[in-house]
Amino acid sequence: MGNRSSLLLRDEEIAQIQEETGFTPNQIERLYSRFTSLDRGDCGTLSREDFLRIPELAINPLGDRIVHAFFEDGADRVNFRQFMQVLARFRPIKKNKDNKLNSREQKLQFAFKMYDLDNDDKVSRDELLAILHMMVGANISEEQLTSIAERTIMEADQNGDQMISFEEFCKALERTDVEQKMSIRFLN
Amino acid sequence: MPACRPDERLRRRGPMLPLLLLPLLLLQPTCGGPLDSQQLDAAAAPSASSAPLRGWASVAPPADVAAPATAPAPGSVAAVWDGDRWQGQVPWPPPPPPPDNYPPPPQPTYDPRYSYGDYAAAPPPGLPPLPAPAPGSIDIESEAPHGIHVANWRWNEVGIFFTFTAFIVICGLAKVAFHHAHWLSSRIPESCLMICVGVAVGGVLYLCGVPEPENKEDRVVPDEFHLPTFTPRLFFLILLPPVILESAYSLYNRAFAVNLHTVLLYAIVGTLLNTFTIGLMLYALSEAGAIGRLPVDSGSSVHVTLPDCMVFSALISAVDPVAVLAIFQEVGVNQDLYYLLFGESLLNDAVTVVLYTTMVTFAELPEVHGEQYVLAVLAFFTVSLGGLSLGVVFGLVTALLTRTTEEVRVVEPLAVLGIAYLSYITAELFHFSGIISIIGCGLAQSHYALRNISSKSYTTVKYFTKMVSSTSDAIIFLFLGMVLVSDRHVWHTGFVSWTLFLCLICRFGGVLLLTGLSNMFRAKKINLQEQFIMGYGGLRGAIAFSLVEMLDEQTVRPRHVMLTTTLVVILFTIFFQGATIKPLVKLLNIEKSRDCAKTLNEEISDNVLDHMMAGIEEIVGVRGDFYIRRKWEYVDEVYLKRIFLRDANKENSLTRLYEKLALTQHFAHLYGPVTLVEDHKATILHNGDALGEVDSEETGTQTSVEQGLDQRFPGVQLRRRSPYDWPPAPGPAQVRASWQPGTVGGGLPPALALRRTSSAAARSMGSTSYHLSAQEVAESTETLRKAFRSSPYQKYCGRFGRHAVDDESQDLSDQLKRRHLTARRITSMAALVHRNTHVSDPSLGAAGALTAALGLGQLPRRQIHSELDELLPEELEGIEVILHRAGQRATRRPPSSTSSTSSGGGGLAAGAGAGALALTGALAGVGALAPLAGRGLHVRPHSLQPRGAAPLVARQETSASIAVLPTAESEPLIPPPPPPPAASAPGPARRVSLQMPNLEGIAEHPAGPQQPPTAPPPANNGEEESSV
Repeated sequence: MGNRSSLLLRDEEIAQIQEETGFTPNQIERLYSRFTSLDRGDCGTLSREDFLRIPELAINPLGDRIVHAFFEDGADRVNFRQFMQVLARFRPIKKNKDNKLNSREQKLQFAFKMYDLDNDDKVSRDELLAILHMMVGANISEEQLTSIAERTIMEADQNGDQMISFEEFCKALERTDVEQKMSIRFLN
Repeated sequence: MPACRPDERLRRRGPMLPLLLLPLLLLQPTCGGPLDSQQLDAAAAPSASSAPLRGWASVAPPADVAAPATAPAPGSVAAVWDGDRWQGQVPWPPPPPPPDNYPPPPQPTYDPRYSYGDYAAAPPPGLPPLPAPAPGSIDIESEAPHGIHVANWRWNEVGIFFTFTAFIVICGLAKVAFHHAHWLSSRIPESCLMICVGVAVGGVLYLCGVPEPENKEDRVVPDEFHLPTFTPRLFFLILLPPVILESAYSLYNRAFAVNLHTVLLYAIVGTLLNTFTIGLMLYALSEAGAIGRLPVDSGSSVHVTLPDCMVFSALISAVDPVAVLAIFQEVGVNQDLYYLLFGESLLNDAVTVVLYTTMVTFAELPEVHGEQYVLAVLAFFTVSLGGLSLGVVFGLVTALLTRTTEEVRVVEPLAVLGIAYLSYITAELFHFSGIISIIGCGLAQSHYALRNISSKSYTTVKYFTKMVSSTSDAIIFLFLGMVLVSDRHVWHTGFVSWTLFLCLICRFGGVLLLTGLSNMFRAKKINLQEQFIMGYGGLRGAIAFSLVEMLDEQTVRPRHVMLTTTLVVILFTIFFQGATIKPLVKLLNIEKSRDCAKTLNEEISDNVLDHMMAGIEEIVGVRGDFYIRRKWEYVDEVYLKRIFLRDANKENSLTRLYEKLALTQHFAHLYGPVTLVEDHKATILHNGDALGEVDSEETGTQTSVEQGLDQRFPGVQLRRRSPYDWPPAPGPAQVRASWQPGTVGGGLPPALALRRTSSAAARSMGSTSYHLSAQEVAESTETLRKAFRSSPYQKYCGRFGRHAVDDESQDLSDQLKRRHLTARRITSMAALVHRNTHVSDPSLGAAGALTAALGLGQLPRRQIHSELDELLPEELEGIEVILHRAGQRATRRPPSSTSSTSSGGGGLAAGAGAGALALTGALAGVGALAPLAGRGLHVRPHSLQPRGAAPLVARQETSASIAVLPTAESEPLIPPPPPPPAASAPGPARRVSLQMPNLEGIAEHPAGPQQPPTAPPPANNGEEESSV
């Protein structure tokens, strides 16, 4: 399969993607084979269904959100280049390399998309509540979850609009080691 | 002391009985105190006691002792400690302790006719002879007392306990001394100081000619001389486990799990590498003649052999957890580095144990066959994995046990600690690694058992381990110092210096090599500085020393040279490296640890990121760390927690964190009003021209004020503390910059102004707005700083090292900060509410007013929120809660005035009616104080009047989100009906009843003079806040 996929991927494409994302050709080919294996329809693009066919992803509480983050606004298919650009955010940060896509901010932006259900660049109480619902399941009472959500927002909210903007989000997570937590070693 | 009863004969010699019997003796009404066996003997056998006794065992059996007098009563207590085991029978009068509790007397070996000494003189066959009396002890038996003794000297029985306990206590308390000598302990690590003390103690003992105990006997409790001495057994079985247990609890941490691969690499490969390099190079050097011959005991000297070298290097190359812990806790490096080093020092134990035993075996064996190597490798797996699984099983057993202890909470700490120790001992029993076992047990306990037990038990467990481990720590280093003073040392410059050199080189080389290897796989690289600290932190300690002590002279002939060398290496690493590591960390700019209470945001984002990364890994098609973590969490959640946790459903880190935060906040609210009152007091003082007094904790001048306040706030108990909150900024303009009173009568500080507010003197809120000059800001900042420095917590922390202060105490700073913030918040809110009575905001329009009037509370809440944002960027949630409650209350109210635009302000006032305003109410003579932030309902005594042509004060604030417009038309104000009185004063305010006036929630101040829009406030308000 590796052979086939590398055949399909032209050298200049690889070079271009490498330029954009910083992946090595080897990694690009490997990811391309992954891409094609996900692409059941053989149409060179992935749909949401293609993603959600991954069994583990389907049961991931944030599966929908993760898949959604791959798609640009309004698009319902993602091609390999876009796919790679998203994945490039999860490359570990290297000091001396140009961190265009995998900078801390980019990583945080991806994480922020998990919360931001309505794409308004703000996380409201309800959005947070929805995320909490996804993650904790039925273990916690509704009331408690609500207060947790409210409190969380209060914690991060700085301008008093009862929402968490991306800046506030970054501020709230400034002590978190996002560089490490949002890096996949394979994508090194 | 009388012999209470003739048949009461206590036969005690060993250490245990007095302790066990003490409670029983106290129960006896006829007995004045503990009995002395000798007197009892004397009473029972006068002829024997009159004879001079030599020590314990030289009295002829008194033939004339009547058997009935000494015969044990049926069913009486039976036990005698003869120095080695329980033995024989002690008669005991029947009544006080129910004899049923005791085992039936084992008759045969006891002959009642024998008195105490005789019995010892003629031990039954099979018993070892009794030990000779301790040379240092006083031979009291020879004095053969008659009659009553007021005081007695019983060193033989209690002495050993006395010395041991005193020793431990003194060791533990030595820490206090160090911390008081702050100039010393801030420069030199505590472990070094402890070694110095040990050297001093050892020196004194040596000069006094106290014989050195023979370590080979290897007793845990040497009963020859009572002073505790270092023995490997004592170290491994008693001193080490608590230290490791405490560190095991601290290993329950994500940073450790993330770094586990690297830790294992260091611990296993690194230690192996070090051992073989050092051993082989030492041998090579010796062969090359660089070291020379090592002196041995017999006076001759030998060349060191390869097995000797390997044994020695096996024990010298392992990093010591106790030393590392002692040093690095004080240094405070970042978590990754800490867990790398610390984890390595803990987990290398299995390798060390196996290497050491293997090498010793090889040294003993005449020749080594191939299968021995295979067995050694196998032994590594049994020792490490066996230990680990044993520990985990014990940990899970604890979890199961603690599921059932809901009714018997007192046994919880026992179950946790006892089983943890048991896991260590059991592992040692099988010659597994006890350290790894107790780590496994500690981790499993942290995950399950510690969640089952009550919070009190949890604190007990945590604190107890902390106490014991820090004491053990001190004792270990003290012992290390004590063994330095000894005749046994044999110095050999070549061997010592080469060993030291090789240790350092191999450590650094190994670290560099292995870090390079692990950096290839790590997401977060270990940089060069951290690698240096890793190498530099390779401290050796008491484990190495214990192992070298355990060497047999027959097997490893240059044992004494090795012992000395080991001590030198230990001392070098602890003293030199340990003392310089702190400056080095600073110098190398190593990232320090950030002590942080987790915020909810972080907790949630941790969860989200985990799920997200697991998902991404799935998409990429690589199953890595996140996948494993998620799988584990799934299994844990679905199966394991159900089995091992009492209430698996409630168990969630998010809720736990939330509850913790909520609790802290609750306390803040609880103390907030008190704080406020005190600050208020300070303010009054300040206003009363007592400038500068505020800073000091000395409140002598405040007494009268206090009394005055006491009268006014009957429910509030004033506590003295240093007031942080109201900086005594000079002059009338000391108000926080962002707090801009629209109208100021006398330039009062807010709290005081509030009082006037409520007492219809609100115009005193000022007619001019004040800006803090740069100097004023600086001054108030300085004041705040000073106040903080003089806070009890700061003093505490300044005097004691960070690690000496427990987590609980460290929360103190958090608490204080919150109190401080809450007090400010409340005051600011009061000010704000007041202001809003002036600023009824037409721009909010009917909709806003309607919302407020309808009680949704959203709009005014936000309004306030944004206002307060400026005042208190740090903490807003309390207000939120307050407003939310107030809003809810407003909801219950019928919306009587939908047409009233001004009830936006009304709703606001009602909504913002926080406990702080109870102050207002109290001061206004409403009658009582509800000293409860956020709960007491704000009461305003003014009646509402429709105000014609009373343009609401319009002050345009640059940053306030309220667009304030002057209004020209009159707005009829209709008061909302009074709220249900009972519903609004819950919580800690119970002691004060709040009298509800008829009206509340006023939008307009009766006497507020109208002011033209004032100048925008300066933007310097953030400075003061941030300086706090």
